[in-house]
Amino acid sequence: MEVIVLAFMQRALVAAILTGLVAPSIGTYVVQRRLSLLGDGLGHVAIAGVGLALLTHTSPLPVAVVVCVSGAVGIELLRERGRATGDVALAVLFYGGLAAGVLMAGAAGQGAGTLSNYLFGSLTSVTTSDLAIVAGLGAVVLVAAIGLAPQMFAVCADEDFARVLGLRVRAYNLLIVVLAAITVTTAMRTVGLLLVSALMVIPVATAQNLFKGFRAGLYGAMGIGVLVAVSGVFGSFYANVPPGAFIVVLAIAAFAISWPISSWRHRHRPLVSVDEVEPLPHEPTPEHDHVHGPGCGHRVVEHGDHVDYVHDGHRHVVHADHYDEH
Amino acid sequence: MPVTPVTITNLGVSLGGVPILRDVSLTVEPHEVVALLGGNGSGKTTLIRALLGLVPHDHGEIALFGTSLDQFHQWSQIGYVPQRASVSMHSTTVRELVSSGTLSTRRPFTRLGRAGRDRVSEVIERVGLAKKADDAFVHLSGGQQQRVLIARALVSSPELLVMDEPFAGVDLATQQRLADLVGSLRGDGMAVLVVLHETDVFAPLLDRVVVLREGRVAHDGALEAHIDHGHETQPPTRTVRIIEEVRPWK
Repeated sequence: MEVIVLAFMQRALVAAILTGLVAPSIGTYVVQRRLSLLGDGLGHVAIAGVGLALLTHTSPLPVAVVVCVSGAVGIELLRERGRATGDVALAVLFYGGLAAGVLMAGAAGQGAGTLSNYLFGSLTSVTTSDLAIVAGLGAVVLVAAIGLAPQMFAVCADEDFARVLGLRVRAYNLLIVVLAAITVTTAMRTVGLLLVSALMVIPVATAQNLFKGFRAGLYGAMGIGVLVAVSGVFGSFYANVPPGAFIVVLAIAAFAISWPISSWRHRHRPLVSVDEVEPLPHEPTPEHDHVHGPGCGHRVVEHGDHVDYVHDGHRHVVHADHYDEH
Repeated sequence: MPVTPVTITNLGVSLGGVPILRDVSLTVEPHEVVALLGGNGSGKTTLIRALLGLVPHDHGEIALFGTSLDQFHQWSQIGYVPQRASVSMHSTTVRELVSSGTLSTRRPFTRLGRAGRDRVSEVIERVGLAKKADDAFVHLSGGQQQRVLIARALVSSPELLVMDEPFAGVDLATQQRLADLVGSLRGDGMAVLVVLHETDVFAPLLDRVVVLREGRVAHDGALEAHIDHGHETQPPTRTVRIIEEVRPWK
């Protein structure tokens, strides 16, 4: 562990921890809104910002933040107005951003090598000033993602219901994509623009497999994000491989492990006690299209010498060619 | 004097340029249970969505508790039960989902206080899901999920409950339990506007039915008058027998 005394490793670790915390925190809402590939698209838009910064000889991070946030707002407005169907508009925006970034970088006399630092990150070359920006913007994202969790959860879970609650649904939707854009751009110096989307999505999916409930999933995803980020920094140092890619591979490995755990827990959910479900007279059920059986999705109740299936709060048992209430 | 919860006057709504509602007028008085009936495409759900400001209207007036919809901000007075749960709710627990119903009165960056948490537990118990409060929503049956959506609507103690086909995909025994719950809410003084495909188990609770046909009000009055005109049949005998034997939630 003597690597920990190296200044560049300390900065890399802090940057990785911040990215591991922040990306899944906003990723939780992005995944809940079924926009898992949003981060990937925003990464392409941010490349245009990097290209613009190289062309104008300014600092890439602030310019990329502005360009990416503008792109995010544009994407959200397209989605809100129902004009993003077919994904054509989004594809034009995303690949337009990539092409514009490469063109502007080329015009600035910079080759693909310069851009690849931002596409795939360069954790070990993170400077103190990079770290300050990542920490500052990361704090903004974390405060919003945790402090406004009830409101953003409500909007993501059921937009119509959120409107009837009087919540400013449009503002919260915009906030989510803007925070995602900030997260993507601040991660360009850590795991890179092309890989940050993985950290926004995969720890969230892993946490959903392991934890029950939204809030547990949010904090669980942040914990998994930090775990794979820290492990990735150390692992990549010893394996002499790029840290960003190694972090993402570890995140995928964690997801792969969580999958069978989730399936096992689902299959071994405790049987319902027969007393928990009220009995009904043993008569044929009215209309019953569903076929009960192992893995049918209904919970099983041991009932004497047979099993019943809990269906809409009462028990069904197969009887000849129909089901009876039990 | 109590204020009329719902007043709709000459409402017209178009979706994608196609007229869906034409000059619809409707009121729901305090303590009244009103069913909105009609075939597929008659405009029932659109009327509910326009009432709640979820779709814009072309002309006419909508007032909630005497206030024009544009000026209305007391959303805690209204409980909304959508037709079905969204997929995005699947990763949540019952308690989390019901707690989201408190947001009409909560400021951003504030925690749900003790009284709020107690209220959430109270409504979960009222819909008979106390033992399921910390279960994942996705693991509940269709009828139980519907009860969670009702609990979420009730948590702010609304004076008007708006339900969009709460019986869709729910079997008869569960329908009866939901109807019993709505009956008890009326006993608390709540007004209820409910979209139904068939009145079935709700029939004894209804003060009035409003029938939509091709976007217009075809009938507004007692259910019996609607049935007398041969528009609706009584539930089958088998249904009635099952209903009578179902026990209420503990």
